[in-house]
Amino acid sequence: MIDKIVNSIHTFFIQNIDLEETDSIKLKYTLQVIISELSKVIILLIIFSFIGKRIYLVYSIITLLSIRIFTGGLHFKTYNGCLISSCFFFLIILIASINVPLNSLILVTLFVFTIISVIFLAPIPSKSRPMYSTPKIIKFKILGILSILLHYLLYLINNEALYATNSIWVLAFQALQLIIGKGVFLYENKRLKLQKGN
Amino acid sequence: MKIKGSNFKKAINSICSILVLASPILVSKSACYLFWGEPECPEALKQEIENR
Repeated sequence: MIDKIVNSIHTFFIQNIDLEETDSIKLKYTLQVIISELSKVIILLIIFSFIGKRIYLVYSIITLLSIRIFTGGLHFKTYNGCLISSCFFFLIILIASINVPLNSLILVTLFVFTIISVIFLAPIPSKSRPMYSTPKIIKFKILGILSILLHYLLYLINNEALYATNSIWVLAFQALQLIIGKGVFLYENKRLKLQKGN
Repeated sequence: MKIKGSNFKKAINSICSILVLASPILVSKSACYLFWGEPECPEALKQEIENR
């Protein structure tokens, strides 16, 4: 479905504009990214509107946008797999955010866990991306850490704001995802080596 | 009608240029997009980013 929409928009552009082959490839890639991500946002907004918790989703997306683009994480091969896991992720955050009160002990534990995960594991980019240079990896790490610090600072300034409490859980589950993502990455590498050995 | 057609072509051209320009930025300035799945990054784009 997404591919069909992307292909028809792409064809429309190609028919109207003279594009070099490389530019045509780039155009298609951007269209795929925009339409795929936008469609997921819309579907999730509909689901969360049904359960009356749309604002939690909007806050979670804002926080996630500020950290996930620098730290990466788990990836799924199919559109549906991605959509289901995204929905599951935001639902877990919603449940934690509503049911678990953040006391000092939980807050410090989550902060240490989140920071350590990002320092040692981030970024975990998708396999479909190019290899990043070391300076770029360090830059992503620093930006990820800054995003965490900013959100914790916001929480310390106003711990009653819904955005602040919700963001603490988003950061924590994103960090957990980095650990799972690294585990999957190591397991797949090991399996590949074993296959080559055989 | 001719003016309308010309303006339409200009608008399409501008949108297309922005979309083409966005692809290397999307790949080089972020490690990931918002959600859990990503389209396969084209080889031409990968090489362009790695050679930077």
